[in-house]
Amino acid sequence: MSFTKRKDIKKDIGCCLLDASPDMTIYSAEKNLIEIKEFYSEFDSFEINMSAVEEIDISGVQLLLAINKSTAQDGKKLVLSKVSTSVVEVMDVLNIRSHFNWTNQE
Amino acid sequence: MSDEKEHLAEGQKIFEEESRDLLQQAESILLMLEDDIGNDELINDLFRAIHTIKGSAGIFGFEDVVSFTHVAESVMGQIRDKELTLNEDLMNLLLDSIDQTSKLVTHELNNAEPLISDSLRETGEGLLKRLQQYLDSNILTTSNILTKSKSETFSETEAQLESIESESLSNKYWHISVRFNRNVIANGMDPLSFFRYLNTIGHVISMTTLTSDLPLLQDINPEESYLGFEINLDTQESKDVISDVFEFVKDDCQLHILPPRSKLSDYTRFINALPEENMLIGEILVVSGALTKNELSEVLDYQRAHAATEIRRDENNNFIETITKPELSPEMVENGIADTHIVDVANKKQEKVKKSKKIEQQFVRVNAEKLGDLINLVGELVITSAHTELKAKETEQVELFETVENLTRLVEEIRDSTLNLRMVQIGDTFNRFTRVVRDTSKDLGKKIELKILGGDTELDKTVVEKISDPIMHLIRNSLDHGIETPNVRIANGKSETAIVNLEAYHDSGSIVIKISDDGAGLNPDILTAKAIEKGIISAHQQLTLPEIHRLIFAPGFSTAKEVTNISGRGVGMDVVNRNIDALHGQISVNSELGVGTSFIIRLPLTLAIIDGFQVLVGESAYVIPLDLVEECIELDEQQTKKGEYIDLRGEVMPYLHLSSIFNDDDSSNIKKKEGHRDNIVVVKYAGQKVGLVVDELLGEYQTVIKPLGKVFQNLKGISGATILGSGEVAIIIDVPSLVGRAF
Repeated sequence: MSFTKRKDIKKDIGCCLLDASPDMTIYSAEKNLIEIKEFYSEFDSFEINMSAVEEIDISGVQLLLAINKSTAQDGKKLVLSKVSTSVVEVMDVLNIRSHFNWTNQE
Repeated sequence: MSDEKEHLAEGQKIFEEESRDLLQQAESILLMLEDDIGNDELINDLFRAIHTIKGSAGIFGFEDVVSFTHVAESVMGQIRDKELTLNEDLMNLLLDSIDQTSKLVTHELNNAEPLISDSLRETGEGLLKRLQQYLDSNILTTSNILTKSKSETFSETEAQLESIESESLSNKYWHISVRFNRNVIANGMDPLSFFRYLNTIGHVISMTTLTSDLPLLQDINPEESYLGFEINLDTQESKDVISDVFEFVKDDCQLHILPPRSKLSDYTRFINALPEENMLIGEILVVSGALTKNELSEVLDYQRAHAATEIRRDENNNFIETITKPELSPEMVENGIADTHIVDVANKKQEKVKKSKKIEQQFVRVNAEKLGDLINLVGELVITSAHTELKAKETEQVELFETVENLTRLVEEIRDSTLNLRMVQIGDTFNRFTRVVRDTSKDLGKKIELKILGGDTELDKTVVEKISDPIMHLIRNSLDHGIETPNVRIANGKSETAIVNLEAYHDSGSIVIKISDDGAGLNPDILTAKAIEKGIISAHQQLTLPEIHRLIFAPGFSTAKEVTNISGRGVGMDVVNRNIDALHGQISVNSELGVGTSFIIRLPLTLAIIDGFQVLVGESAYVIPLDLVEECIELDEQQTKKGEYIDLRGEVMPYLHLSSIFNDDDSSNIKKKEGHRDNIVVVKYAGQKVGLVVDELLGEYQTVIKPLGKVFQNLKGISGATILGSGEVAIIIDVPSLVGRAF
């Protein structure tokens, strides 16, 4: 499903591991937002695994950017990992790769 | 090995054609630039043309061409990048450089010996030296400009503000700025698709996504759009094409499109129109490469200075709002698109150039020989199809006949489109004369403007090639002898600048090329005196005015008091006349003393296949070109008694008996038959109507013109022959010469 919280392996360092849903389009936007909001207040650091994302449109990009903006404002951390090719393509169209922190680690 | 050589030869042929085209293009661009000096698009095209020549010459190892064009290209490159400004001297230098390139290319293609001649080398070196001077001086001038623009930036007077306003900035790409409305995603649009599409009409150089409007997580409505986009696009397309990309969201977004090298003031206006803070948006523009840092500070300075003047002006009225948005023009607010700039810049002329360029790109180069073969084959096809039609008629099978009729129709269409392949617009040939007029008028110290009309008139390529020299001669003649010096013109109450018109149009089966000037006109007294002196006419001969005018076509006739290097060797006009004769054309001259002279050339449209009108005289078939046939009427016995003319609805029209012209005895036998009546085919040529009396009208017939053998070539009244479906030969009637005979 959508932003799902993984087993809390990194809880000790306060990092929340999330799996992004395959659908990051307008059709799931509302749901995605609700889910991310749910975890946002609980943690100071987030790692979103983007490997499952099949479809992403401007609303999905906006959501990622909004998370990014909020974390920056609140002194929290956001890292994207295993970004799928469909997301990379969109990021390159908009030239926003540099907006995010990337990682390839689990 | 021989294969390789063949390939090379073929490649060289393509290079020859391509470079000739490009050089001609470069020349006409330069001439256009003369009237429109700041046109960036033209300068770009110019650079590209010379660049392509250099590249292609490099492939063939034409070192002389490469080394010369390299320097010329650098100069053009600097003009393009606004590091050098075009002036008259530079313009002449570039024109000479193009001539030199053309000579070098010709040399490389034609001469076996690798060394270029001394004179060519000397001219080349001279030109290179001058080109180099421009390149060297540029370094100095750039620094001058820099200091100059700085001082202008800090000065406050209105006049200097104006000059900054007109200064173009260095961004050579389109700048597109999009702010989507909040509801755009909810309306089912994905802005991403528009950006992806942009890459198909050009190349996105840079893309900046603005997140300044994006709310934080707790405030965001995920179905609304908050992002802004600044894009730099490299494309040859027009503004319309770019704004069409956003057609679907045009009501759902604020779109600003700035053309390449927009002016400082345009950027100022643009920055003001955006919702973000000026400084922020300015920095974004710097990041996206639309502006350099210096340019941004200039823009902001300009803005501040302009705002200051606005305040000063408005103080009395207390319009304080204007401080923040001083330059917001009303249409900009309404449309969000500043169309005015482009409309101003692109005048009709360039649009035409653009159009013709687009057509050019769709061309396929075909060997002329292949085309000739095809046309010959189509000719045979037409003859065979006529034969088939005849045979089908004889069988009296309706179905077969219907099928054959369809076939004939198709063959006709094939014939038309095949012949069309050879048709080219005469405009390209005409444009070449612009340069001739420019150079010649400078040499002669006269002011002359060449006006070209009907450049899109089409005619057979072979005709176009052969007509170019005669036209050139007539134009030079007109420039040299016809047009007076500015002083004389002013003294005679004419405008200082003379006008030479070059015009082409279709007129019943022929193409008419008219060269007219508003010069001195032909002086009949001088012409007669000269003709008597040269022994062309005798002293007591009485000539009509048109006859006197035609004297200029007599061999060995030249009236210019001094022989100039432009025309006046006395071999010109009769050669012109002969050339046009060879094309089955005619030339006539009209002139009025003190008002001007015009030469009118009439040429047949094509030399291969025509629509004919078949008639019978006695037992022989004749073909009259259908385009020249006006109507067919019956010859009234009563009228024939009056003489060799009839009353055609109140108009006197002479007529000729084809039987007596061609001494056809069979015809008189037919006439003796009971109830036979003669028909008149009314033909019209050059405005004159003549009747041709024939025994029988057979109707329309596709005529493949077969040239007559040498023995028959000088026969008057016959222009060729054709083969009928039955295999018989029919004579094609030369209407122009018969019309001449009737009057």
